[in-house]
Amino acid sequence: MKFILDMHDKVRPLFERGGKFERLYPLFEAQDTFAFTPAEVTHGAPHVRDALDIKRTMITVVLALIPVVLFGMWNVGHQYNVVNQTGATDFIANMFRGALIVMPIILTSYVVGGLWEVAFAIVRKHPINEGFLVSGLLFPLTLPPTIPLWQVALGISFGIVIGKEIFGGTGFNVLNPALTARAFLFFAYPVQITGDTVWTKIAADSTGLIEGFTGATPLAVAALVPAGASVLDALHGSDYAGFTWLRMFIGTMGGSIGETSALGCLIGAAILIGFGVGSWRIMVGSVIGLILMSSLLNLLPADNYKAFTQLPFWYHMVMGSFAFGTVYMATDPVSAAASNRGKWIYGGLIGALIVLIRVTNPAYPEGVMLAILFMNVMAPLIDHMVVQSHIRQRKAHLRKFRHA
Amino acid sequence: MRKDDIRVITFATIICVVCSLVLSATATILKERQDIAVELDRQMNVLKAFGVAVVDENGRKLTKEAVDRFFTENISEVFIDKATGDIVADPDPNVLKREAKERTHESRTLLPLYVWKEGGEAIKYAFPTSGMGLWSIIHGYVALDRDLSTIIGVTFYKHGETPGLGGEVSADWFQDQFSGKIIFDAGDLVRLEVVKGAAPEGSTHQVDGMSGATMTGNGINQFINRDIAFYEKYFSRIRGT
Amino acid sequence: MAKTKDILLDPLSDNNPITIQILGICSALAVTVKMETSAVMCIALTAVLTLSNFIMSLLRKVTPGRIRMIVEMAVIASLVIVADQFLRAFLFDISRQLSVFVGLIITNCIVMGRAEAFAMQNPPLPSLLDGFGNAMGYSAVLLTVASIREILGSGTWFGYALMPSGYMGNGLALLAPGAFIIIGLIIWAQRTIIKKFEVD
Repeated sequence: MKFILDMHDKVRPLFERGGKFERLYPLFEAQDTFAFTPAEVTHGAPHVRDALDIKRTMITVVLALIPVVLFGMWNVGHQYNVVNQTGATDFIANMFRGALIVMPIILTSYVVGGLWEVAFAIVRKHPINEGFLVSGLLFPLTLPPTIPLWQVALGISFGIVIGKEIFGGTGFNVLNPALTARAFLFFAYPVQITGDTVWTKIAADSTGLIEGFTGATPLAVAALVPAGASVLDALHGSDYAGFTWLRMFIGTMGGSIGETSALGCLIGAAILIGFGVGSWRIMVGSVIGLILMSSLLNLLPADNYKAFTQLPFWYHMVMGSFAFGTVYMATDPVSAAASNRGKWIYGGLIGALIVLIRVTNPAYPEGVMLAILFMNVMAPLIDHMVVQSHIRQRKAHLRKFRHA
Repeated sequence: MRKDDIRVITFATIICVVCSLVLSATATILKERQDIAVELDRQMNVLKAFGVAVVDENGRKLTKEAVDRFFTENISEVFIDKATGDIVADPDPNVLKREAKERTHESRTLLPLYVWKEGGEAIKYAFPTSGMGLWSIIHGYVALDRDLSTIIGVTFYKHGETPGLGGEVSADWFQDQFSGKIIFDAGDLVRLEVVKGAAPEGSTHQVDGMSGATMTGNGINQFINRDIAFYEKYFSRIRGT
Repeated sequence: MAKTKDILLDPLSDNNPITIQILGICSALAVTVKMETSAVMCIALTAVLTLSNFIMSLLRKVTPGRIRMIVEMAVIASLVIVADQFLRAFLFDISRQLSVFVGLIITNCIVMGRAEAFAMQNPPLPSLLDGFGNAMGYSAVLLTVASIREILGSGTWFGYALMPSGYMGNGLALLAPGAFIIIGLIIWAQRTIIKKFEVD
């Protein structure tokens, strides 16, 4: 360790102002502070007595993502092996197959996104922000395993450049860059990112698919149940093994790489909240919003409205990407509301909107991405209103004292 | 002040008169050409459903004369009473004019039908069909062979669906699938169907769906079969004889 | 002489109605899916804007100030309706694709804006040039946006296939938000370049 530190300090002058590689300072700085705590400390009071900087925050998020990444990899391989009837069932075979499919997607996202990040850091002469380590990993997890790699490259480029750098880089972006990237692909190349055929990789030389395989996700199944029929029967009876609550909670089904397992997201949530990095208010808020909205929809007469409205809230929680979006996307500290009361409102509306879009919008089977992006836009307004209401309260308080 | 008012009013009147003169002149002069254009567009869509190539390999469209020749020589337009299924010999022009503005057959009483005759014998039929897709009303034509069951062609020429998803209704691959499908089998109507995903191999009445556009497909299923049922009142008579 | 040149060329970049003044955005978003429709739209707007500036300039001394705006509206609306009638008669397909947007030239801020800001104070010939110049500035942006959208979205340009046959169209370019982003990028690029000139 000492040796590496010495080496860093030795070459440091080369990268500092006036040095030979001055222009490449961001690259040096990035990996210097990655390995060691930054040299700068806060000057002047008040101090937060903590080693927390943006880098540690982001590394914690990456750590919290590991459960879903690993599970996603295994699940992609598992789905592949089951659906294509390859006969391979053991853990290693699934992991290996999944890694073969998932790793290129993640690597593409990191390499292309990283190039943009470095390019902007050099042009704008600011250090490389580790926020990208999170965006570059979050984005591939929201994609189906069948996504073409050139689309991954295009998507992350859009997310980084239009979603973040145009606004001035990390900390200034209005929208979550990973979701912006996904939204771009969603609208630009809808065929590769929605529909039944994208969620499970089918072998090119596939000889026989498992009987009854449709590729439909639970959300797609639930959306098509006609009025009067039982949505739970449709879910439990569909596809090759039936979407039971437990199966959807664990996540052994087709879907975007990182979204299927609510359990994995729950572990991630524990890590984020435990380290004080993710806002528990937003997470709890959106769970409450989801419960309220789905219970409200449950009250609609079952015979007149499509059966999806009757789905109980605990099913909504484990379907689609609710867990993933709430835990990792909605809590992005830059694009979320900042005030505590604002976080409750922000989270609550995200949860409610997700259910509303899922159930009532005929075109979009899932509403997580759209709900979070929409609330990203609204977040500053929510904060403004919270602050204004505080000011009003104080003023009223003050008046009361004066009159007393 | 009064004098100024008069000047303002005079000026405004002159402007109004001049503008309206210019407008009515243009409208009158161009009226005939506009009607021809609307008519030509309708005729082209009918021809397309009948399987006539309306655009040559250089991308040039058929001329008005060529289109007219088809219509005077082969195609006649008749109107069917929706309630009874009879051909209406002399339809009320006012009713026709009013119903031309309706967007679907549901609110019409007279249904247009194009009959393609050769040597005095009807060999093909085409009729308009329209209804709600996902976001918009989809307009199209269905052309049937002389057996009144085999589809010659289906065209959708106007819609507002999402490009790339439901917007594929206007794509050739989607419309071409309909040719050869049957709507009448063993004495009964069969439901023409855009399925979700791929249609079963060899199916006589199902076509592949557009990926990511199940709802658009469902809309088509709903209105195309509804319209076929409207016309069936008339078709069943011809089949019977 | 230099002034005539400025009147004509200024609106092309330094004072472009769309990218600098941010006027006429609505049609720039709506009709730019294809080059064909955009080109027709540009021609229609050029005709209307040039003529309306010319006519308003001719009328500028006799028009009573109090009903100035209404007279402008009447002239512009008449011209637009005439243009629309012509399109319906001679370019039926395109006029249907343009739908209400030809009619909406009436409310296009550029037309009213030029009549009010330029034609009412200047003689007919410069006004005509000003109208034409602004129409060219509008057209330049419209055609650029349409080129990008049609090439990215459909892989064609004026209907001719440009991209290799396997090209997958970018659906976002076909949607209005795509046009919004493209116009934003053009504005970004243009302002970056203009700023550079100022610094030098």
